[in-house]
Amino acid sequence: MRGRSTWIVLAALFAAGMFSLGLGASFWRTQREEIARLPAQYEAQMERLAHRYAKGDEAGYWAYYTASPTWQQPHPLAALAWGVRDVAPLVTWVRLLGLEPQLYDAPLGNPRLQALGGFDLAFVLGILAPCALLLLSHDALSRDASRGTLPLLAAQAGGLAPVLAARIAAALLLVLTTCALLWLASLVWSGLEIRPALDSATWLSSAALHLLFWAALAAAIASATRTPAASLATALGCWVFIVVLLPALVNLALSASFPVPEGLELTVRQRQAMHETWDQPRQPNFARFLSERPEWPHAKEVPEQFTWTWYYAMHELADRSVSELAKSYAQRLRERRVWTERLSWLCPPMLLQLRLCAIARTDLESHLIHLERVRAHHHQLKLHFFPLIAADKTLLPADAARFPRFSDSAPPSLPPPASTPLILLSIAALLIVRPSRLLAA
Amino acid sequence: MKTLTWIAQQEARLVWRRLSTRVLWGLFTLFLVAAALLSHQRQTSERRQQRHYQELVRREWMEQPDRHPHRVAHYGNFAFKPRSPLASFDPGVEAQVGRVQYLEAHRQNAMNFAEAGGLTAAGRLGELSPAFVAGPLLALVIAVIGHGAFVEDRELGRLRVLLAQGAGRHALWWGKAGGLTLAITPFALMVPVAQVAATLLWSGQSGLTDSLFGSDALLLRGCLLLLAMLLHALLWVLVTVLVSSLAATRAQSAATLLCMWLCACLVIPRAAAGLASALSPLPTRSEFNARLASELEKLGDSHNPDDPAYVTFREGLLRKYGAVSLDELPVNYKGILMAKGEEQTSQVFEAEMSRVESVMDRQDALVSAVAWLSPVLSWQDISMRLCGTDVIAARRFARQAEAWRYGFVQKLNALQRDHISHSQNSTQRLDRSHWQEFEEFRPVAPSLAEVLRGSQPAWFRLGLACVIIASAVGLMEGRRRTA
Repeated sequence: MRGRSTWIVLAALFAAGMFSLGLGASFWRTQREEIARLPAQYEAQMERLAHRYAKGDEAGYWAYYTASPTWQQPHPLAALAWGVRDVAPLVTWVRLLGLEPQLYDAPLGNPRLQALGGFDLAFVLGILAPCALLLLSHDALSRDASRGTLPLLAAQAGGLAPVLAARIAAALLLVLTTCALLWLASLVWSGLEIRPALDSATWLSSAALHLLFWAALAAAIASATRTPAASLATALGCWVFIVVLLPALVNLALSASFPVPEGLELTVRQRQAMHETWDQPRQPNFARFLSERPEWPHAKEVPEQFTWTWYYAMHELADRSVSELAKSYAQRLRERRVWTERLSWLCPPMLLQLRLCAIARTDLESHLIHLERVRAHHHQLKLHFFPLIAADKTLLPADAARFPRFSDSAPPSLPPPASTPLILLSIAALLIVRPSRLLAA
Repeated sequence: MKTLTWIAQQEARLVWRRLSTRVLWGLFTLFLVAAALLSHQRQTSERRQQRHYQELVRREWMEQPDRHPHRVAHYGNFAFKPRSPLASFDPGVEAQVGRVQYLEAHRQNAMNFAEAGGLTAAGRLGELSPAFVAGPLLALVIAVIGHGAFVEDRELGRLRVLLAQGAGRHALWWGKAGGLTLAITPFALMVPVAQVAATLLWSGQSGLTDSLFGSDALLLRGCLLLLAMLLHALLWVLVTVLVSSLAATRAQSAATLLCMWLCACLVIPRAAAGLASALSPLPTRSEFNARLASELEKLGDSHNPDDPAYVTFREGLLRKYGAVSLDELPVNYKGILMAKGEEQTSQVFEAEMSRVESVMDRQDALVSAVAWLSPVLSWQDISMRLCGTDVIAARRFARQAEAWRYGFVQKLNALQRDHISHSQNSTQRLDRSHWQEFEEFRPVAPSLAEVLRGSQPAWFRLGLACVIIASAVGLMEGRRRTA
């Protein structure tokens, strides 16, 4: 492909990229604003409580109605690779009650849009850019083969390999330049925020490495087909198979073979445990509670009527009764992730997507880490409130300032999946490049 | 007419003589069978799981000991989103909407454990389903098989011969279109075959009977799905032949068609989703809850009998019964207060939720508008609705779950009002026999008539697109003949 159509392809790719950047910027802004508004929302809540309990009230009441926000600061690259962000929330509000039922709420979203998928730069670089590259380079040799000028070309250049290499490299360079321009545009857009410079470099180089694989594949296709029609059909066939069908099949196979029944089990069991405890004799259960809470010995006995100590102990016992399930829920999800990674070795776009989202901290793993931090914060709430509740303290609005707050958390650092498979697949594709075959016939 | 059928037969024969077509058919069938089997297996196991927990929860509800009714209202219940028997064909938004909702007094919890929440980032590249094979993939097959329909004849010089032999341009065009339709029939036919086979294979094992839509409706829905699939395929046949008749070379025709496919299946749907959420952003959950909390604050706390917001209410009630103190009332004031509070909180929630839903409606409207550019979106719309896995069905379910929640909570408040004495409110228990009076949650999916009414625009879009292309061809070929 030459001349005008080359520029059309590149312009389309660039336009798609700019569009994704626009969406990404608005997506990122929304997330930042959501987090920025949290303190105000928390203060508004505390003001309502201060108004309601102006003369002070039991610590148990304060704890019951105080929800405190936990969040994960989005990584700047999250604007470019949205990952699971639309279905896994950045923000979780927790109260002192049982933790498990508070962890798994879906964010408010339109399922129809979520099902359609995101249009982020990762999509443009991982899905559309390879298509552009193939469109530009599939006929590197077949355009001459179909005109009969191939032997001439080979004679002039001293073999077909240099011609093929030069043409593929030119196409790759054009596409890479477009991607680099998009990258620069994204930097300008986000106010030249290149602070996680290493992350940014890894991010962009992953995308470039991925395109290298496609260039190798393009070379293989170009050296195996004789007419532009055939090379185009083969190239786009490969593209559809690798980019659309293979990931779709792998994803279906993964969700079919890794069901996660723990979610339902956990929800149902937690509630039952919580309410069963309420009907049982209190002392033995309370002893069970204290066995892991030696720090509150002054509340050895519980009376038969309602007390906050007992109420929160019950919540904790319910959490404990499903702690194994909660662990195995996360474990299952991690297992699924490991298998996704393994299978993605055979499917470069999947591997790239995993890498880009891991670097941008928008993968499942970073959500699981977020959940662990929520757990830790919930524990802080317990450490603060339990002694007050056990001592039957009355809290005044002024005491609310000492309630534990979640400390601003940086995005977790995660090792992204290795990119070696990309290199190996590129080499494998290059090994089947035999342009001289085209001359043989 | 005779030439037309002859051309059509020739075209189909020619297509199937190619090895590539047969290989393609093999691959298509392979993907279809894999999609049907895996999807069925997954949906069946999901449904079995759900059934299991549903029964467990029901049993646990019935076996509750003597409890205070308000405790039972907080014990609450679960609404499991029923899996449509057709979800194995088109899972639609099923993975995004969550599987279970905890229902209790005073609050409307979110749906939990959406499968999409457990997916890795690579999962966002999409999941194979029979509906994907029947829609986008079949469209791709049509483009691949048919891109040469005209242009190949032109390149090989056959076109001139055919025209010289007296085949009219119209007959030639429609003959090609007919031929391509014939040629893809073996592909299209595999879709219902695989679906029925997978259903028979798995339903025999699962022992699940379907109450969501009756079995007649199931068959009818299946037939309508087939019809929609054929209409969508027909549109792609027309587009393919049109592009092929206009293109200069086969490569050009193939490149154009594949770019169109890429736009229709990958770019436009995602772009529409992105645009919709950027143009009409939804409030975040934090914002929603903050608004809800500030609205609720205005109402007062129904747990607190001395809340000033309820004082006038209390005075009115005392006057009505001619009582001096709450203990003298023949009914339990706390139960009445709870009922009042529940009524108000759910009104507030409804109002807030309908604001959110109106934003979602705007988003959906934008997607529907964009669907004029991508027939795949129309196909998805029809197929999700027929399979009962669309957002409308999901919202209907949410509303039914909320209505049911409101019903059982108010029933429990009534039990508290009538059977628990005000003075012994904190110690008295209600006999467990009362729990048997509560009915199970039986959500009803939108009926076929509603589904058809809702998907009318999508049918219209597909049909109109076919008509427009057909008449454009009529005009164009007519002009060429006179020229």
